[in-house]
Amino acid sequence: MTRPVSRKLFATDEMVDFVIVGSGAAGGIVAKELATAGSSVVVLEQGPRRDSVEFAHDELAAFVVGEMTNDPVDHPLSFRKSASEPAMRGTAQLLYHRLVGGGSVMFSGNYWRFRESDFIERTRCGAVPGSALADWPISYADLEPYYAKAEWELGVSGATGPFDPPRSRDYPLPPFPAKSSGVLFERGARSVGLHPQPTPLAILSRPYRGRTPCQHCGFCLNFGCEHGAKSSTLVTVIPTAEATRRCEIRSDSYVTRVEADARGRVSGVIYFDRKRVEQRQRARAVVLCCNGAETPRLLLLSASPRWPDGLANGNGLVGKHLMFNGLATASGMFEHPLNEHKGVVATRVAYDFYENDARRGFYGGGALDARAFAYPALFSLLLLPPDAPTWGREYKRMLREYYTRTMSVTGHSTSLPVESNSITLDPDLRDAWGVPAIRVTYRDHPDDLATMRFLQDRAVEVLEAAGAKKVWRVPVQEQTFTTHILGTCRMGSDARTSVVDTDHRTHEVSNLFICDGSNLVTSGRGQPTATIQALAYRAGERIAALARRGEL
Amino acid sequence: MSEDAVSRRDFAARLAAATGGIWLSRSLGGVSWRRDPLDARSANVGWRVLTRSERANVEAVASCIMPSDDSAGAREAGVVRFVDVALATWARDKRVVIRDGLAELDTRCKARWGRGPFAELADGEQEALLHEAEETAFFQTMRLFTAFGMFGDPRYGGNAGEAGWRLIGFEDRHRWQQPFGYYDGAASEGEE
Repeated sequence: MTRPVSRKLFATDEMVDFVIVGSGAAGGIVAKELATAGSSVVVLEQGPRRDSVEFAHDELAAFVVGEMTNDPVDHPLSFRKSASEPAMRGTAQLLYHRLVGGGSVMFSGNYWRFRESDFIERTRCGAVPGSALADWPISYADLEPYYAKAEWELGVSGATGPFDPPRSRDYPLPPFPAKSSGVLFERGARSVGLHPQPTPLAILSRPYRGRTPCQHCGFCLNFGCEHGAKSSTLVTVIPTAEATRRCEIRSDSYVTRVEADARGRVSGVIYFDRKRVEQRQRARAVVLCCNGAETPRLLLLSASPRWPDGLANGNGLVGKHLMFNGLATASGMFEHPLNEHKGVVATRVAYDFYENDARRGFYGGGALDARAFAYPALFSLLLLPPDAPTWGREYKRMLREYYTRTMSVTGHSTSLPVESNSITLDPDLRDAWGVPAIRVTYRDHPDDLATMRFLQDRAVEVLEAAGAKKVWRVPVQEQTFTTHILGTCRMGSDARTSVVDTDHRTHEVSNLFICDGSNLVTSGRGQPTATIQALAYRAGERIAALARRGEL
Repeated sequence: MSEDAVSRRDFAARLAAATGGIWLSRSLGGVSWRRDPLDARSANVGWRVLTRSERANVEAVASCIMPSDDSAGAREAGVVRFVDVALATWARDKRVVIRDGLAELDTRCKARWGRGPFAELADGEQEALLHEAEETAFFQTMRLFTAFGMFGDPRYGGNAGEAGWRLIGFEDRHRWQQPFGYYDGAASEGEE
């Protein structure tokens, strides 16, 4: 089997209309929108290109050897809770995936729209002390057509429920039926007065636009889909972009600097190619779609005498307001086997606690879904109850009893934007290319922890009501790990308090754009991919319009 | 349990609770483990790193972690083969911690009972020594190796004949059809 190689269209010294950095959930969509609108586009992707048939059910490769993820030697990062302590290596993890398609290849597929309230929380909830809670400069109504476009173009399965925001179109594909965790969740949730519904998933429940539907193999989260049924950008918009013959996906290309000229406009990017030789790709405009950590890092790396604190960072906000989303889980073991290692990650969700409720005494909201993390080696190592032995005869007995009978109910919740939570460059640590590493400064706001604990309590109630023989939890603690990296180049109309405007254009550099999780003003309740992709469709349309009018 | 054990377990459990992903090497020292192309299932592949006595002791440790009884354990699954392949390839950085750990076990055998090696102690004696070693990087690495040697892809040298997967009720397939388990089966039959 030969590995597909992107056919090179553009020489590196050839000026193209757009360089897009990152080919993930956002970058793939922006590339397709700009290329189909007539622009020449080079997408520089740090990681390799893999084809669907290459994706294997290999826990060791995925989690230990760390193929395509953050290898701690090649890509170290440091972590501290606040600027008053030293940042340490090896104490935290940002998990993202470096390959063509990025996180959209490896995510669970969970796909939640924001609600109307998510865009106006500052107005609705008032200021939250210790946070920089702000309204978005756009509304749900502004973004709604693009949620619909993403769902129909990429292929999203679901059904509307009692708490859904307004929709111009239904889902293109029917929802997945409940698997055992979903059936039990429904039973428990209904008996405590909640209103469960099918989970929206960017995974095909039926054949769609020539693609194979889900075969229920069970390896969605942190694995690529060998069937191409997960609606990643790799199997949807990226081939469409390439089919225009105006878009080149250049993989194994690690961008380390965005260059700007004497007029204060970007002129191209510098990157390491596959052989670690530095190259320059010239462009009339640049769109950063790296993710909420790598995009601010790249801007900080692109400092110059004109921008001593980082490109487009005159107000110092690049990298700030880092948000994780809250995550809190309770697990239960039932009498009969569920076999959660089969099927998609989650089939049922309850949004009853989505909205902020001042009577709770803290800001925040979220949702509960029924899921399981049932990869066998990891389960055996990490997922028995906390009071279980970790080796020996009783451990083995419990493992054989629990593995097929366990499920979880997970609360997904809000993260407040806090200015001191940030992505910065570590002053000492460098990666394997000699580039300064990311330093994460992060501490959950007390209201975020209160919300997580609240949802975890509700999760326990649901599992007990569902008839679990045993229920357990790991106590909520300050988070040091995330897959949702949000908020670090926030969108806003006021150039003093934001990094990009409503066209995703940086306030300071007229031909530099950002479109990825860094733009989110509020974190939503989890599963941000839907919102990131809707923003990408909207950004692609608006950037193309600016290009057409000669306003870049 | 000591502070370290609690914090390490809580840390790992916290990672697990964040079901977005688990980074195991983080909890074991953050070593880069390179993967070489390999398929270690062939019976003709000779031992690459472990000496005969090391193999006996590694197998004994793994058999304490995942004992054999009326069902397969680490011995039947070939965890020692998995460890040998790992130390020859993607986990070569772990040779020192494994060898140091085995040497320490040997020292403690002799100090406590005046005999050894570890592999020849009685079960209860082996378990007693391993309880003392629970907090060490050696034992935590052996737990990791045993987990993936039991339940990882057989191409890495363990999970012989998929014995580990069958032990816990997992099967690796590209396609499944509902019902997957009892409760979605009951639902589809109209019960409750």
